[in-house]
Amino acid sequence: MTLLKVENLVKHFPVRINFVKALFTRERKKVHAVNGVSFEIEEGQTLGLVGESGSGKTTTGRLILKLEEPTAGRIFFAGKEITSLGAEEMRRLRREMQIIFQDPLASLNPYMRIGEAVRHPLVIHSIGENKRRQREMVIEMLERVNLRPAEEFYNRFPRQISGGQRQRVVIARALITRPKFVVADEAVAMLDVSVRSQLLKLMMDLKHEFNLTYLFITHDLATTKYICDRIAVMYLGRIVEEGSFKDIYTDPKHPYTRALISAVPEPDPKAGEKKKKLIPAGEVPNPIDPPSGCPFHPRCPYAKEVCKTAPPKLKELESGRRVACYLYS
Amino acid sequence: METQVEVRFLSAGIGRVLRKFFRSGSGKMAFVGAVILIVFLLAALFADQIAPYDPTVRSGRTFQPPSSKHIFGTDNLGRDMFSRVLHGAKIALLIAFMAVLIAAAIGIPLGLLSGYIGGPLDRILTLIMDAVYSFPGLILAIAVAAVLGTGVTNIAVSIAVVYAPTYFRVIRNQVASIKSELYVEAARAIGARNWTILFRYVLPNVLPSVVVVLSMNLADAIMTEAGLSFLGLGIAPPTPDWGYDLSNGQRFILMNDWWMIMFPGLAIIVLVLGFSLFSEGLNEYLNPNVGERE
Repeated sequence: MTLLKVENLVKHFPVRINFVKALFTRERKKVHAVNGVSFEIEEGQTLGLVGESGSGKTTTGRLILKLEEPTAGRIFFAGKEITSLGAEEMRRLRREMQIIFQDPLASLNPYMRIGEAVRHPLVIHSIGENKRRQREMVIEMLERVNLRPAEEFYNRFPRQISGGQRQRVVIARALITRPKFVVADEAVAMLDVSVRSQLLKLMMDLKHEFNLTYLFITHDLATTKYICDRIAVMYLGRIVEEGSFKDIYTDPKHPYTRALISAVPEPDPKAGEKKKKLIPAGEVPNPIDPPSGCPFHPRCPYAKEVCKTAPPKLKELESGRRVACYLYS
Repeated sequence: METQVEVRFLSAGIGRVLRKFFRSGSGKMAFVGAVILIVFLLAALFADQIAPYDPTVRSGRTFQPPSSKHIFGTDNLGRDMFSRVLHGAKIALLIAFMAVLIAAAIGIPLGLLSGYIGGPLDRILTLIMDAVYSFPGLILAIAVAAVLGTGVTNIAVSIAVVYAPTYFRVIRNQVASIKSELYVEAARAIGARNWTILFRYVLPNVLPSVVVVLSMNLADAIMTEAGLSFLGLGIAPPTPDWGYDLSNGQRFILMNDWWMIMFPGLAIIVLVLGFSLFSEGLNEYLNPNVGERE
């Protein structure tokens, strides 16, 4: 069953220009953060949304949770369209869909004790009969994310615990309402490598235990290895390739995906020497003024004339494998 | 997050000088300030018990210099200056606290709403508050006091009008920046209502600067109150009041009757100093990055 379906999602941010300029020019510049993104996530699956910074992956995550109003496009959650949902309906739906942010310290209120921060979603959605029951649920949850002794952590402030522990708190807060769907926005990017693998393991365990569906946003292909069933690669606000984890990793089609895969460090130094790195020339173009045609064509080693004309459509090569590149059409 | 408090209080300037003097960071400032405040609070609370004479009736000969009978001397009506200064503390603190509470009660909620909601409401409120803020403090207080008339509540209100925009500005600016913090977005993501976000996520984060503004404001309120009374717009005589005693005493300064203005003046200075020390110490403690701004 498809839990989440996104159709042609678009988000443009207006660029602030100064007043005098605004008087004399008619043109309003926009940042094309997300430029027509479509994908589906099956219940219980994990989709990895991969791309470098500025590719629009974070904005996509925020749009799905309606933390940002989309400019165009439609979002379906559990078969229901949520794009036009009113504020109050959306607020109630938030119990079902949660987000884990990148920076755990910034996403916790510095003046709220950890226990209270985790209990607050229960209060908001009136889960649990009374305060004591809610407290029990929080303690249980804190223990589940390995914050022990939970009673002691309950009364601490975010500044008094370590980064990894903070992210555990954020995970506990996101999961206490037993959501179906969780967006993990670079959830482990700010932690050191040893803590990172522990947390990835925790997130995987919790996924099976609570039957979660993840949208795992990351710039780091290596972390998707442990957690993702499918991967969608984003570049300048568009999905350039989508497929199962194995397909993308062993047989990348799109030139950009190939470059990304080649940049993943190899644990074995000998294998690393043999591997050819395909770092694309130049930088990511400015999303205010994206290139015509395929967004990747200025950096693509295989660029042809046709690439400059119109952006290639995301074409299904085989079942569950989509690529947006003229090389495959 | 920037939480430093930039306001135009006179006492903020005093605090900066004091900080240099105390070589900052030791917590001594807050301690010395607190001691001064406690002494004045006790004097005000127990004025009836401590004062040797009734402050409003004649207790000896007029124009007596300080002596063992009248340690601060007597004024032109033969009233004991020591008793008047003690009772004056009661009036000064009462009006200062009232004024600050009223100012905070207007400025804080408006600042919260304006900063959080934003848009046209924010622009209009900011415009109004900036207009009030642009008047020189004492002049505005005189204008309002002249309309309202004398009396404790009226004086407190006219002082509050002067300081409400300060609360508004401090709170509004902080809320506007806290609004874009990730934890506010996280609160929205867990489904919190706007009111909940405002009170449980935004307000606790602006409170530290409110506390500092409050205590700085108390110092300025005392000076403004004394100024109003000095100009005859304050408390009606014969109620003991430092500002009134100052203006009364300055008429006789050519007769070398220094004690009549020295003691009320000293009382004002020491109390204002106390509040300044306390607020600056508090500021240092609550917003440790403040010292780095020079």
